[in-house]
Amino acid sequence: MIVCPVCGHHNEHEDTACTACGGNLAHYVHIACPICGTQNNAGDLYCFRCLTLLRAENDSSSAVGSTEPGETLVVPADPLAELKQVLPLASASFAPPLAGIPPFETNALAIEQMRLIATGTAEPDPLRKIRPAPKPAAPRGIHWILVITIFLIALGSIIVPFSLPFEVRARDSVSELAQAIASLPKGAVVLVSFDYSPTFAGEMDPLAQAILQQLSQRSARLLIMSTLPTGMGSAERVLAETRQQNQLGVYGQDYILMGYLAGEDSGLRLLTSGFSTAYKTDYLHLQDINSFPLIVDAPTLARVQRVIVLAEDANIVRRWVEQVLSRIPISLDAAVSASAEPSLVPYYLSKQLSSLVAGLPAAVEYAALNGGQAADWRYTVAFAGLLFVLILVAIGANIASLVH
Amino acid sequence: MRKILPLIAASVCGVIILANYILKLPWLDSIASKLLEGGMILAAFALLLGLVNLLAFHVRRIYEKKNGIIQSIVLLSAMVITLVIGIVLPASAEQSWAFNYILYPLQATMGALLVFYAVNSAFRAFQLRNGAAVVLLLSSLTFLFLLIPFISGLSPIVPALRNWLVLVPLGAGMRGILLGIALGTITSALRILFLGDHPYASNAEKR
Repeated sequence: MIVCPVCGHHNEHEDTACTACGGNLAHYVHIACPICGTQNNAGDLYCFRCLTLLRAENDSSSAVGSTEPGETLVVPADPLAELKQVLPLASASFAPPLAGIPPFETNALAIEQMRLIATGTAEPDPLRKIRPAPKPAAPRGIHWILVITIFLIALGSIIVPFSLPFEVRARDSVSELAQAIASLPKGAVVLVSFDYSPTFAGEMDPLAQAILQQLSQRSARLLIMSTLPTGMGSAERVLAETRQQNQLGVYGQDYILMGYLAGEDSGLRLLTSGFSTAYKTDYLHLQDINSFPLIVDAPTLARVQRVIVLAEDANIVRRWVEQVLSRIPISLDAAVSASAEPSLVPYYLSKQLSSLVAGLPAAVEYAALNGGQAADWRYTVAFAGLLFVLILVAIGANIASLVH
Repeated sequence: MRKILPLIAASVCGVIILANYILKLPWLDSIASKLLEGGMILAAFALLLGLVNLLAFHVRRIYEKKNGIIQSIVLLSAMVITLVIGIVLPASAEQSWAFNYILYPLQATMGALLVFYAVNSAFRAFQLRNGAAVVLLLSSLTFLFLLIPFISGLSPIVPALRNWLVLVPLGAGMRGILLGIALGTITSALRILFLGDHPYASNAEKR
């Protein structure tokens, strides 16, 4: 595979020109030496390792290896020939070794000499013994122990029932969000944006379920949307789980799926002009968005009590702050993956984010605040097990190196 | 004219959107909304263009019988089936099924597989070789420990310690990084607005 330096298109290794932009790839194409097998640039005349002639002059395709014994080869012209006329020492310094010598014939002796050279150069690189070989990430035995341990943790978290022997304490940021939702009046309109893909489902689903459960307990009216193409699928999954445990109410009146909002920053900017500007129809029935009572009651973000963004990435929350919060003073809460939390701390400290909760620990603490366990306990146990393994690996690797 | 017109159009659009942030004028708001709608439509077409490019690339691979022809066939089949379901049966049970039983498990599996790589590479990454490795190991161990979901139940110090670490040292570092990014963004935006830079122009136009 050759990546075109001009347009970045991926070409096959034998392409001499980019199939997308036509750019010259001749320098990136390689020709295998017929004697020692070394890969040389397509433009090279000789193999850089065994000095075998790779192709005859004026011939860009045929290799010497295909030449039959006795066939006459044309020796290439001296590449420094023109310099002889320019430089005064040309006659001494640039005496062409091949000048005046007629084209030689590949006789049996020449072929034997080439074979000997090739045999010698094709031997294993003597420096390979000195050069340290790249180490595997972990020794093979330990690698398999780690793989089996992780597998057993994942399996155990599904099979073995687990309950906490102690009470979980919530952090301030988690308590802030739970209290803010608890203080919502009955029937308050809350916008929830599912901005995470299934890759983050294991981490984000328990958090989303914990928040949605509390919202449904408070009889909040939900506007559901996403700024990611796969986000609405995640929303449907979590809503289905929540619907089993709590009543979400009537579609269109108590909750509505508005759908995927394209355009990232531009889309969010447009959302500030009103829901009917950004969405023409709803996601579930493809009906006119203005025909739903919930949208009639809350046609713009200014009529929404809280906006909760469930995001896999800090940039998504940043977009909400920059494009929405800068225009409409809303209460913006962020529930994010653990990796996104550090980047969003300044937004939380500057009070642009009303609350910031992150990862599975927040899901456990949030569920504990509401008097229960995280909705999908399996993820939490498996995640905790993984962290234990990582800690043990970090300590064990150093002990092992000390012992050795 | 061919060079100047795009520059003026880009600069005027940029100034309108920027002014709309600062000034609360209904007519400006209306123009900015139209421009943003146009931008969204263009973004959608860019997606379509990407789709056509992908289609052309893999059709050519199949036609030329290059390596990876099976993968190309699978990719094209999946693309066509998803497109047909999305266009003919939008927001249907079939689409939900495709998401729940194909896309969701595949993406979740890809995410889960990272665990094996993470644990395996941690074996080497956490080995103490120099001073920086000691800092890396200590900070990693601290955060790994504090990230364990129900660890806050062990002691009231644990959530307080985590809060302090996240809000004070980590917050200070991130604030510095964000300020640097913001300054860079402002400089780039001003260069584009005042025609000092035009990254949207082709190489030929730049010359």
